[in-house]
Amino acid sequence: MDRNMKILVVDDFSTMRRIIKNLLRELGFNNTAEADDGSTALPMLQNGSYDFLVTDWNMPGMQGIDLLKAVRSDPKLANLPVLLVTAEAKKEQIVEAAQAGVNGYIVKPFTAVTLKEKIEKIFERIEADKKSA
Amino acid sequence: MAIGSYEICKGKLRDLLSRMDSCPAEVGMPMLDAFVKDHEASLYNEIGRLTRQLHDSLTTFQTEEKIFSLTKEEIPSAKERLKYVMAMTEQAAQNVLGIVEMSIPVALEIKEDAGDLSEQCKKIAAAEAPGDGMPRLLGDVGEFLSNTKDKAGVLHGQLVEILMAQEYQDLTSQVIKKVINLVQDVEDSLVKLIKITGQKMPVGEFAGNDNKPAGPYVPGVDDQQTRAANQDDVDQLLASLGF
Repeated sequence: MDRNMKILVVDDFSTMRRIIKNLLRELGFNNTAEADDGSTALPMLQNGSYDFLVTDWNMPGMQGIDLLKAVRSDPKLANLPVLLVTAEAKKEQIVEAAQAGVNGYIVKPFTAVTLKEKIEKIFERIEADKKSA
Repeated sequence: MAIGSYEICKGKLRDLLSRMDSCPAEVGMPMLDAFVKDHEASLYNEIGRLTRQLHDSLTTFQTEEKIFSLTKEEIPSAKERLKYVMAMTEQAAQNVLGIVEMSIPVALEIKEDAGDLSEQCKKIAAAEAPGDGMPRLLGDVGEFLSNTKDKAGVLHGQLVEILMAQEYQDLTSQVIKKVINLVQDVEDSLVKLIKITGQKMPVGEFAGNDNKPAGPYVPGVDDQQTRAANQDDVDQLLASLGF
């Protein structure tokens, strides 16, 4: 896993963005940027070479699930790993996110350990897929 | 007045008139008085019924007035109160995050300096003539202890600030309690209003807002059959989908 990878953190609450950024820094990821909803995040993703997207679901403007779908349908971004960090926990929502191609799903409130585990799992799987391809 | 009682009344009057025809005025007048009194009694009954209706209407009116004041003042003020809670909790969170962001590097510096010093000690202890490195080590240890004392002082101050930042909780719970009481008032008024209007509402299924994000899972409120209560539930569901 590349510790210098560029990560975009999307959440409408600045406190949550700060918490996630600090946790990422603790894990050795210092190259992070922020956006406060999907419609701000999408152009950032399209114009900057991001390696990883961490997004909330419920946001004013464009929601996280729609951002995920937009990412997957954009040929340039289609393979971007996406981690949802959200309070949304309806089973049908989790299924919807899985079907939309999310790489990881963390439900709030969450712990630093959960974030670490899910990020590691996402990149382990990507590495494994690369090797088997 | 109902048609039945009107017919009875006419019958009684005819009966009275025929009896008055065949008796002198001294007997007839009291008979007429008795008839009028009897008729007045039924009038009083009617007035009583109207009074009760008026009373009921006034009660309804009071309830409506209560609802009026709820919508005019108390609900808007409740919205302001909740906004205040949001602002206070956010401010406290930002405050604590700011302090923590300042204290993390300080703690890391102490950790790194202590690690370096520990390495230096090991090297000197393993050296052939450990005494040669002692003056430098002593200087470094002295400097480290002095720095650590300062840094621990900074961390101590920051911990006290974090402690103080939690005071919002007391204030916000008081505000939230007020809003809960208001919600109770609104519920009571609505129940009263429905009782007074006396309409039986058809019991329909609440459609819900299935397409909207539902927000955080609240224990005891949200249905655990349809919602994941924690990360383990989410992981299990995803695993069942082959994740």
